[in-house]
Amino acid sequence: MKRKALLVLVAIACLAAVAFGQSGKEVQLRFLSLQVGVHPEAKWFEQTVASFNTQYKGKIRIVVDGVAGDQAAWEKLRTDAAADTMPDLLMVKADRSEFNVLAQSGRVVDLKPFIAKDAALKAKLNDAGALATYTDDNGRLLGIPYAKAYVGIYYNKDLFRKAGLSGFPTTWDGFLAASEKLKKSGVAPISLMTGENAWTSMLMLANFIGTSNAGMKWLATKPEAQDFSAAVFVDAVAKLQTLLEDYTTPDAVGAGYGVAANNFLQGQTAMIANGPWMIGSFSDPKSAPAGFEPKVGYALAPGNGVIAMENIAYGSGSKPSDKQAASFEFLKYLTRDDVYSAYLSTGGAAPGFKTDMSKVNYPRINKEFVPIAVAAKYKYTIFPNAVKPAVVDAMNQLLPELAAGRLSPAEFAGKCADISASN
Amino acid sequence: MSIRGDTLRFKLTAVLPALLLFSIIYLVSIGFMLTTSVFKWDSLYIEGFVGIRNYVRMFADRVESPTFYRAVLNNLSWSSIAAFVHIPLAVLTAIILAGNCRGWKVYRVILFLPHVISITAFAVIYKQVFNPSFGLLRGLFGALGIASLRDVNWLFDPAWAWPSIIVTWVFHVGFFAVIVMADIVSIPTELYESAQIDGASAARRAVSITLPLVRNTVGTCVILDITGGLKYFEGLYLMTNGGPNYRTETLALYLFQKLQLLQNSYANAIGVALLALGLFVVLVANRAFRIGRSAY
Amino acid sequence: MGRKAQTSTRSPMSFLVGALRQAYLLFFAAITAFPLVWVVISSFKTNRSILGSALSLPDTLHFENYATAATMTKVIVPFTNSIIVTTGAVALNLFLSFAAAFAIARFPSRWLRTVALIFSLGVLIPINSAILPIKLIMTRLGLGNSLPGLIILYAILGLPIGVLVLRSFLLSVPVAIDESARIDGTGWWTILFRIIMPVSQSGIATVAIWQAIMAWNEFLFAILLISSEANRTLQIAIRFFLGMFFFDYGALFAMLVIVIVPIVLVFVIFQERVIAGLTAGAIKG
Repeated sequence: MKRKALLVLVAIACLAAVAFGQSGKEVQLRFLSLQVGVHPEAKWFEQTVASFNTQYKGKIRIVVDGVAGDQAAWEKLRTDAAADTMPDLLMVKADRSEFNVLAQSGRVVDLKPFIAKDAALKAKLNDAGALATYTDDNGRLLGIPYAKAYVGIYYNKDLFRKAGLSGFPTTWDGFLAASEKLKKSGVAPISLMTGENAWTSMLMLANFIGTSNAGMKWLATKPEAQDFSAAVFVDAVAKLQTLLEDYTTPDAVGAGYGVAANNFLQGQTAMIANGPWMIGSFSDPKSAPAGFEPKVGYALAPGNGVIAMENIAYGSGSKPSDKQAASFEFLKYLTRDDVYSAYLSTGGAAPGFKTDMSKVNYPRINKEFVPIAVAAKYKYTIFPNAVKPAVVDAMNQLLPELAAGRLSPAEFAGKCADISASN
Repeated sequence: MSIRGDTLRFKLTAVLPALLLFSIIYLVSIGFMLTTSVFKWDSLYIEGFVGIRNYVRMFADRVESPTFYRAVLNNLSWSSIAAFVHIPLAVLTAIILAGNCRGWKVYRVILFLPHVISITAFAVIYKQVFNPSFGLLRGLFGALGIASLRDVNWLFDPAWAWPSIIVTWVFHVGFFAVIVMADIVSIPTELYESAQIDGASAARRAVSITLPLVRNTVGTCVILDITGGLKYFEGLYLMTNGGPNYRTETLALYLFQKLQLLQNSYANAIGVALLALGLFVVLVANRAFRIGRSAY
Repeated sequence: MGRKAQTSTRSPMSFLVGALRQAYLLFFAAITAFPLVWVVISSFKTNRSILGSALSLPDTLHFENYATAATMTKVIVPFTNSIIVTTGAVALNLFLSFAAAFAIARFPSRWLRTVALIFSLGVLIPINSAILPIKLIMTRLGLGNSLPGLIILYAILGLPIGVLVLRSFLLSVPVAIDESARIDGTGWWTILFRIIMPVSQSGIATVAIWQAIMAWNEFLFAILLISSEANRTLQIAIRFFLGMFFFDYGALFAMLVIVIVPIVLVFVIFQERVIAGLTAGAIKG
């Protein structure tokens, strides 16, 4: 009697396993994403993943592995790359220090064969420059270019007016004079940071370098061949030093992105260099006080320059072929007109491929800024693309010294050269 | 069943599981660390044999070796403070707490709190405490009217950075105090009573009776504190990342930073150096405290 | 019990000593508690007023910080995971360490002394440099991204210290204690658990506390091995929460309080039993 009961149980168990096995045909994809929490694009991301999951219910399911904060997300991704546990879906940044690591891992799927089989998608991806950015040295395309950005300087029009300034300065001297006035009116002129990857400081450094022909060339040089003794670089460092010493908040030294951004959003500083992805935060009640957005203006760097950068792409790290196909389905889904229009409208990015722009509703700030950015005299890339990752890392250590005057611009440049040579 | 066979079987079954599991993780790690430190391994794949190149870089490279030596110095500084300040404070606290003074139970809980709260949370808290714009210290010194101290950027000032880091742990005596206290209360009271009858003061009793008898435990605590300090890097990474200009760098942090840059073989060379340093320190401590021989 | 009795007459000297003791303890308690108190108070301020001044008291109690923090950070699951992993790791580690430490302390023999040396070397190893091979081993063994995997790994990571500390404690247990049991022919395992364990409570409690703290605070391997949100431990969650709140210091502090308070409560309730075990300890001789 007991034995029979046991057999029945086993049979039921087998049936159950088969039944679950059937539903297990659903392919699960892990999406490592930083567009979560208070990220300006979090809502768009959440909605997109949800609608995809609904549409592909039973066939593909995306599980989000959310890591808030760019730095933390990159650390996780880099560890995954090294340990061979890549997520199925990931964001591929154009930032060379990150991209090169991903390329070298050889663990990001080459999308070229998939795209070749899909004529409609192939026709959309018409931006050769963007495609080139995300292609590694072996000719593998690691991501679908998603966002381009023109990066300028945000400023608080209200605080500017209170300091007696009418517009945004267009020369370095004008910038200094404006900063003096801002300082006198009781506000720190600009948000800077030396912690994490020193992002906003690096943007200003690029602005100081890039607003000249020699400078544009400097920023386009490959990291291995970079010359840190160039006058263009040393001068730019000197300008940054002036800002760090006199025209920023006391906690800029040691600050991470959060501190710098917070200072601007709460009105402690009047300017911050950052990209269009920040626009969402200006009207987000969790990030900025009510009524903040209309106060914000977006301007070119003094000297008539703007940072033009490829920003992000989306790629896949899947290994098994069924997951690769599923991942590609999602990547294709991301290029749908409605999904993409929603994305562009949220963050104000410039498109990375051909799309129907009629439904894109750019935020006010971007609508005003993009035309002048396109017409800027000097266009250049970001600083981390022109130097080795070790140099970017060393900014943590060197910028506090620069800020305190313990290093002169020439010495700073010398140290950068040493670090670049030794790493 | 012979007694000897029984004992032998016990020895084996008691020790082997732990030893085996230990070997899988630890011996593999050491072996891996040692081996890869003499290979070229930047980014993701291990390439050819390069001999002692990483070590030469560590000791002699114009750019890297100052950081390395600074880190070693900081490690020695940390270890010395652990052995000569932190643990003595803990022992003193233990003696006082064991003396049954008023409210000792409450103090014991409060003093133990920092160890219960995660390192990450504490590092974030201290970063705010030291924040030069709105931190706690700025507020305090501002209220006290000491402008020169109010304006200091504690974690990024060349003079104050390392002391600030030290401050984040040296006063947290709770953990070791509790351990030593456990040892103190197991000392038979008769020893104290006879000394008291002989007229010895509380301080005298502490020095002549308590201290010698907790020698083993204190020695173990010193070793634990020092080795813990040698491996610690998470809080440092969050607070200063070794800055400004590598002044708060330690070997463990240096290792982590190089791992971040994917300079894996160099990082493992640093690991070997850390291991050597730790070995040296532990051997010295072992000798000094004569651990292994009964205190009674 | 080893605690010195208070004398009933309070001479000026003993009064001064008593006052010094209180001052000393007060100083340390203040340094320890002050940052935490400050965080709690600040958690009720708005972001603006925190940026404005450090020492000001909140104008009103802004509970919305807690609402924000609570809705954005789901602490229950990571918290439970951490509890599971910590208790599991401590239990497994104690079992392995205690047996090994006893064998090493009790039986003088050359190979056991070598084993002891090997274990003490383990205390020194900067395990960070081996994250990659360890991750590979764990994944191959099928222990990646699982709580049992973390439990086993943490138990192993704590073996050197466990064996070292327990050996030190067990060395002061007199050898004669099990003589009568041996004469009766009792097996070693029985002796271990029936006779030795009761008198080594302080050592066991010490190792238990140490392992619990190590396991609770560990995040390097946790981040490395855990990739699904459901298996995250508290430390990983905290790290990720940090990235969420850089715009709102009020919510950041509220989040920290939410994370710290349960830990402290659990500890306060638990510590009476643990410390009681510590101080009930062995009476020698």
